[in-house]
Amino acid sequence: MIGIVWLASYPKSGNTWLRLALESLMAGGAPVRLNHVKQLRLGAASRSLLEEVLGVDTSDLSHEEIEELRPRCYEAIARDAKRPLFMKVHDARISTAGGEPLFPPDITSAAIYIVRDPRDVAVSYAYHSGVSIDAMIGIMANPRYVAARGVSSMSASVPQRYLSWSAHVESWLDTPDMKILLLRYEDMVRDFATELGRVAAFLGMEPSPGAIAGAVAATRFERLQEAEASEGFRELAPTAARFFRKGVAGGWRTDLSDKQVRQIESDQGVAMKRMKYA
Amino acid sequence: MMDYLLCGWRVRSQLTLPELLPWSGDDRVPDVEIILGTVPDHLDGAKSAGPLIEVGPDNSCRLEIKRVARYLVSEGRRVVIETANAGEDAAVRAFLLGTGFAMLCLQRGLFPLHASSVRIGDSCIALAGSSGMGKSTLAATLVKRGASLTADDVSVVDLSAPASPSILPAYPQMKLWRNSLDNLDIAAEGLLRVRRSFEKYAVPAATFFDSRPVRLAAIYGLADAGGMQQAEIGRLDGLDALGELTMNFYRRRLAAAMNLQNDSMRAALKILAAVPLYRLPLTRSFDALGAIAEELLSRHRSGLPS
Repeated sequence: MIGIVWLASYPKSGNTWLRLALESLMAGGAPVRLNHVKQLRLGAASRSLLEEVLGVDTSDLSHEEIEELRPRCYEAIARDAKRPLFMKVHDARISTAGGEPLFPPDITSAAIYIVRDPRDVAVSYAYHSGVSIDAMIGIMANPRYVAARGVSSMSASVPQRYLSWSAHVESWLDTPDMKILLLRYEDMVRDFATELGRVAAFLGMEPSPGAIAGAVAATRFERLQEAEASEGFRELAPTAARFFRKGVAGGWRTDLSDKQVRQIESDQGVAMKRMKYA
Repeated sequence: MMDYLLCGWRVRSQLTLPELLPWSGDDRVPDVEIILGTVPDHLDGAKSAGPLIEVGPDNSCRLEIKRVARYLVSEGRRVVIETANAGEDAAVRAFLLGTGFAMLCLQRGLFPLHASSVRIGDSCIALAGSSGMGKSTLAATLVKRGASLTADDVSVVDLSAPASPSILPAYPQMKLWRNSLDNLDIAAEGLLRVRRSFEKYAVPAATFFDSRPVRLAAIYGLADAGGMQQAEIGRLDGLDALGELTMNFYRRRLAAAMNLQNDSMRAALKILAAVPLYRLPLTRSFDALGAIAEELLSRHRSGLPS
């Protein structure tokens, strides 16, 4: 069986950037068109994807029913796949209420986990979601946080358990039965060519140096911002004005108050230390 | 036992279906019978069409939603339902009137579109798109401004008539989420929830419903505007139109398991030869919907745009 490669991260940590670069890399380093990227279509929590597999409306199913069915959907998708699939994930690597892994190990080929300094995530994710930074700091510290809960309105994604930022990181990195590559957003910003080379090696791809350089150039932040300004971007949340906002590491130093920094460091201290952010 | 109207069919059902209009037509033999009975664990020689559906060699379809019901749909005219939990009647009906309905249509050679449709004058428009795109909310906005409801969520295209494709009206109900109700000034009190655990409501729409089959004048594929403010309605042609239409074919995987891919493709080409398809970018803000509804009404009140 051809397995799924999970491209996992907490939101606003570089997941879309990596998928755009992978798309370019697989096309030999060609430019990418923001709203026509195949690798962006497969979100593990996408309602349209799950409904296509299930044949029923997910909005007629309870959250528990959806969560219970998601492993079956990934199995069906992996069974039908003719080539390895990349699938974007923002869920923590949880087990369902029935006690089985949400992302079944036997159809998993590998996972790439991207981590970003939670102080920068707080700023970016607050902007993206249209909530205050303090509210976002609270969300990131909530050990039972569920995104897209959809109690009174429906989103394009089914509900996803993110847990806290720290629990999210730990859920993915402490998975003994999964081959996993850890990427840091900060390293991607500093030297994307090297990080993309690591990704290619991990996936057993053998791109030419030109393909890596092409993929890096195709996904430079200014270029993505220009593309978003002229074409729009379908992954933009209705709560934000643009998806590609700043693309920097360390912006929290000017965007957070001392109190907010202390709060995050206190909430996420252990995992931050482990990820060398503290 | 009651007789109901669905897509012009006489539906005789042992399960009470308050969503449907009662049958008031001739005394023909029922076109579809829905009975409460036993559904087997598996169909002999069946193919899997995803985790919930099996398709038998004769294209009979079995659907199972744990803790809700099992359904067996065959020959485009017979539905057996085995309910698992008498407490969630609305859920039993939701899967019957969604996927079960699509199974009947596919077995009968009809083309179900994932679209809500409304009648404007002597023709109708279909608003197609995946779940969460805002089909029902835009349809409800149009109905509030004087259009009639033809179908919510699944619109059945009939290509058998000698004239251009028509829509067979389904039933007078819309499913709307709480935020849409609030924005449309519809009170949620007294409305039935589709499932207990979230605020998606079944909104009766008998006064706004028109049960006469109606010519399909245009299909609008709803798309996320992705933050663009001046996104405009644009016509799609050729492969773009074919791709958009087949993408919104309701239950592609099921049709594939029923070996209906070629029939679906032929139907799609036939529809596109007669009906223009447009992309309609939506910003997912309620504020913009009124203006979009007005634009659609003015386009179609004054005849079909070229």
